[in-house]
Amino acid sequence: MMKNTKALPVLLSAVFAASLLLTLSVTAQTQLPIIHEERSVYRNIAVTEYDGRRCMLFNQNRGDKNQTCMDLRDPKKLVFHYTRMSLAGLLLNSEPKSVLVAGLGGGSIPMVMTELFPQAQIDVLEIDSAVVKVAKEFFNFKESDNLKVHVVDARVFIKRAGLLGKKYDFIMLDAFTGEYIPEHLLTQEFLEEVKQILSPEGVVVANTFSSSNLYDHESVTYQAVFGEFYNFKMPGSGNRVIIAQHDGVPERSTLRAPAQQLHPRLRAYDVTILEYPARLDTRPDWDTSRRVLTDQYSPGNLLN
Amino acid sequence: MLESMQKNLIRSVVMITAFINGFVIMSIELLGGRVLAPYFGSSVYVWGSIITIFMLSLSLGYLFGGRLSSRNPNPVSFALFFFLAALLTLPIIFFADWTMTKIFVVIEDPRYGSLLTAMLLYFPPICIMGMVSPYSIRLLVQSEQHSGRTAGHLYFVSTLGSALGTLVTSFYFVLWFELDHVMWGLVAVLILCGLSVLAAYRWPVRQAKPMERSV
Repeated sequence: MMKNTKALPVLLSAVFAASLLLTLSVTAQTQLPIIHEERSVYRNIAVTEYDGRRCMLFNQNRGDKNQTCMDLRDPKKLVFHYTRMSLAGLLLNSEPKSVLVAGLGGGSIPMVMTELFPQAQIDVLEIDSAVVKVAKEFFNFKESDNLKVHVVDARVFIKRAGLLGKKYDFIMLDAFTGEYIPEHLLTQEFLEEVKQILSPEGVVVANTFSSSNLYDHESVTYQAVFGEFYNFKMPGSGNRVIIAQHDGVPERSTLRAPAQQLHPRLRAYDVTILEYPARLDTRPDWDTSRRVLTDQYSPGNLLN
Repeated sequence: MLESMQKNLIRSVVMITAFINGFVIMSIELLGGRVLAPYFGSSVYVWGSIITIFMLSLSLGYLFGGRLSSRNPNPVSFALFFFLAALLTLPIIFFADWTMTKIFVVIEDPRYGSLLTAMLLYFPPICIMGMVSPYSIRLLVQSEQHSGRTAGHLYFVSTLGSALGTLVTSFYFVLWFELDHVMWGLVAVLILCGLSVLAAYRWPVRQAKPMERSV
């Protein structure tokens, strides 16, 4: 017998087995009524239903927040602040013809986008096929000719899209679960690749962190790639949304007209777009001396 | 007296280098995930590729190392393993991006892309590092009766090194240093291991000779 106890695989499988057991035993005791559980190679997914809401949870035994929720009485309504906030990107490009959404969740953002822009080509990237399955079965998510889901790591898809010369008018980055951070999606090199597939008038919308060290590092990294961007926060939301374009963003005053124009169409989704322009800020409220995250240096999970 | 001192010195150096060897292997493995992520993502199969290739490299390394140890086991060959491992680690620093760019274009499926990349980048150095374990046992074993005990000791030390390498790299190195800087550090440490082995076998000999004459 040679040295067959190399630490990592053993560690990984032990942790996996332990968490599996833990999940099985704890989920039985939680108070939230679970209507469905889906096993996945990445994490276990639970669907809960209470108070007129249906939600998707990852690793709910560890107290994770809901990934996505749907109002059962009004399924079109966007329940979370950040999903509504991400539509602020439309102020900078109000008729996207091609849309890329990294991170599916319950599929609310791509569904809204395809309803608003039925002609737009929408590509959705999701690493976990189990999430796609749950979104389709429980959250009214549907693929169509213009709306395609790709089960792929966002970095891989975006790098290849760059090689193929694809361009998108609206790119939404929403691949963070809050628990584990895909560090290769935070780096300067990744954002350069995103920029490469952004059409000249295109807009990047990133749902990111508002807490801790990572906020500073991430802001500095976006700034390094896109220049000045809109930092968008709303009271009552723990999220911050970054809205960026190729070379800085236009004057805030120019956004009032598109807001007026979008308002009637977005009302159905509970998006108060008229309020948004005033809340977009370009002033750095982060520590600008922080280090830019790169493929060489990206300890996102340790900084969080 | 001096002979037993030398034996102890050699024994300690072989144990320490085995510990470091275990450390370096897991440190490189952990960083492998970061090397591959920009091209193949961090999906579960990228880790699958890396771990598979590391296990394969080690298993073959054990086999070759064991075979080599039965033919004239000597400290110079042992030291050469470390120098060779250091040399073969350099392409990970210099050619990883070039290699992955080529592979990314040719192989669309990130599973096989990451598997081939891991094979090309990690098989050579890790296979050599796998040779260290059986060879060091051969250098330490003095009698058949103690062979199991010596082997146990060596696995203990090298696997402990692996545990520490995993922990320190994932908790601290990636926070303190850039990826390539850690890799350079590991290369330097491997070279130091080789030099220490040579020094440990040479050092007492020089001192011993005049004493022998005086006797």
